[in-house]
Amino acid sequence: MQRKVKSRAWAYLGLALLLVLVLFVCVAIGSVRIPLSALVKTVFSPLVNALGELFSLPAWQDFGQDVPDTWRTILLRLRLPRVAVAMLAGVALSLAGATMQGLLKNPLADPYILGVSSGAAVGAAAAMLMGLSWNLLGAFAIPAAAFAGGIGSLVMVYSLSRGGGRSVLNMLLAGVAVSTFLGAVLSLLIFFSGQQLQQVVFWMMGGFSGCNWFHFLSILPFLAGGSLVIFWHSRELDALALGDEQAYYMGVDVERVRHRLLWASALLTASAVSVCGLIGFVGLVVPHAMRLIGGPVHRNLLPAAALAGGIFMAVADLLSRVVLAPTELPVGVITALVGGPFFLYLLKKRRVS
Amino acid sequence: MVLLSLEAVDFSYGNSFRLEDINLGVERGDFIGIIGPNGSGKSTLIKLMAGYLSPDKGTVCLEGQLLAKLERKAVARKVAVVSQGVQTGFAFTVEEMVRLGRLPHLGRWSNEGPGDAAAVGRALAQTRLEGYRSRLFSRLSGGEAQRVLMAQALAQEPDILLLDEPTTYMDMAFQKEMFSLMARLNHEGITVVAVLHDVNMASLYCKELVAIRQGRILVKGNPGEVITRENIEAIFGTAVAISPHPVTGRPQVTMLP
Repeated sequence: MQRKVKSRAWAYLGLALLLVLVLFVCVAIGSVRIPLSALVKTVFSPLVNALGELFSLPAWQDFGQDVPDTWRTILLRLRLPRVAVAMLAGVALSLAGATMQGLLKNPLADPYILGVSSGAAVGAAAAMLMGLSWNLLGAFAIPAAAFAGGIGSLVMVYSLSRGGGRSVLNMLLAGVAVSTFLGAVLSLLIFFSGQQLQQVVFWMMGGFSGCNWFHFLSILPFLAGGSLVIFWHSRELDALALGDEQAYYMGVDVERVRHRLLWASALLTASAVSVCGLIGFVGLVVPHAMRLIGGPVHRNLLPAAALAGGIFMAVADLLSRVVLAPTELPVGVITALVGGPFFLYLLKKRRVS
Repeated sequence: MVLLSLEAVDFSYGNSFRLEDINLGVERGDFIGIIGPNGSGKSTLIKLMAGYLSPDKGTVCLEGQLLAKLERKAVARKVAVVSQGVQTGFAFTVEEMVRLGRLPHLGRWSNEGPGDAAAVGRALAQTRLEGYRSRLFSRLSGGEAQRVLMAQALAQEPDILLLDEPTTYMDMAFQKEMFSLMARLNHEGITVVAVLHDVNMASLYCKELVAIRQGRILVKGNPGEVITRENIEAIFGTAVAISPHPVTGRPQVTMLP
């Protein structure tokens, strides 16, 4: 038992280190060639300069001052925020997926399954059509609109599935119906979008190009809040995976906990959808893979899924911009191309063993 | 002392089926078997006693307090339920399943301590599952899975154990072992209420029997009082003969061809 705990700590440490490594790699690679030394200098110069001030070491004070401003801008204002936003979105989708899978007792559920995505898409599209864009106001208004749309569709699904005891099947069916309906609404919005057409369509294709620190800061609170709620209920998620009745007998206030978890995962999904549109497979594949490696206990699964989700999304975004550079592929294409076969592999492996 | 009491409880699913005027007091140290034909409302009664279903009329109280008003975790530290047919699409191991039984004892951010590990170890030992710790729950046979659910309930360290046909999927040897376990737990101070389909085993092990037919309690009392030819024929609607068990003398039911 002790040994197991230790190796789990090592696994988290490994994932965290990998996350940092991926962050560096993703920032280092891009259409403008910037040497690694410039990256290292840019990253560490604030710290080294401050130490230099403190101990009055002239050489340390000058560290990194030779990096051209354009490089600095590219690294800190263009690439770093983009990678950071991709990681946040990956964390959000992965955690939301893991939660939905636990709640619906179905390892093949994904964050979009209850119509949250289409609701969020309608919300965000409506906000854009009202002329909001990614300025100071829009940076908070568009996620808020996406969130409102996501929650709205979730509430619809939830109340529609009330008849007949709110079984998982009812919720899934209501989710399909609501998604289809909202998909039509979205098409209508796009049809009438006129000038904003390009912005809406571009956003819907899914991707992180143009993501800046506004995006990062605007989704960070949603992500932090939603994740906290989900981590807070990790044991209850285990119990809920055994069914509502069994969870109830183990002391879980089923209705209340399910409400909170649905809200939290809608919050996460909506925050991701609001910045990067619809990106499939991350919320499905990443938690599933982590479950196969580390088991289904959510106290272990959730942190692993969060870290792996961030890594996966950052790498997918990197591939999307380097594979056909200078053309950028939609990230969703990469995640589906990688995720689809990987998922089939997992399924096959599961059946064999 | 009355632990769990149902007073004048009515309950119905829509209009097809109903439990009517159920009065039942479970006292500390009781070992009650609930018997009756299929569809008579035995499982529903367990769900009402556990608070999962709420009565349309009447009250269900735990230690004198309305069950519905109590905090869920507090109830789960006192009442554990072994229900039927729990399934999961996730690959929980037996040990993970049993450790989940500690949920009502753990704070949100707290880790499991030595006390929790000890309770899990005890529960696994009592159900003879020590060798199963890393086996996958979803791959177990019906009887083995039932024992895991029993262990999970025991890990809750409850005062009352409610069981819904705990021996359904078990062969004779495991059935006997399950009944012996229930009797031993009862002897150690746990109050046991079990829905049982095997009237003869119920007669051999339970201190008290409650017979239900069509949603009403027909008769309750010790096995000698409940298991008479008239009662059994009235409950199950089939002709039987009653004879004393050759060793214990408790009444046993024999079907007539």
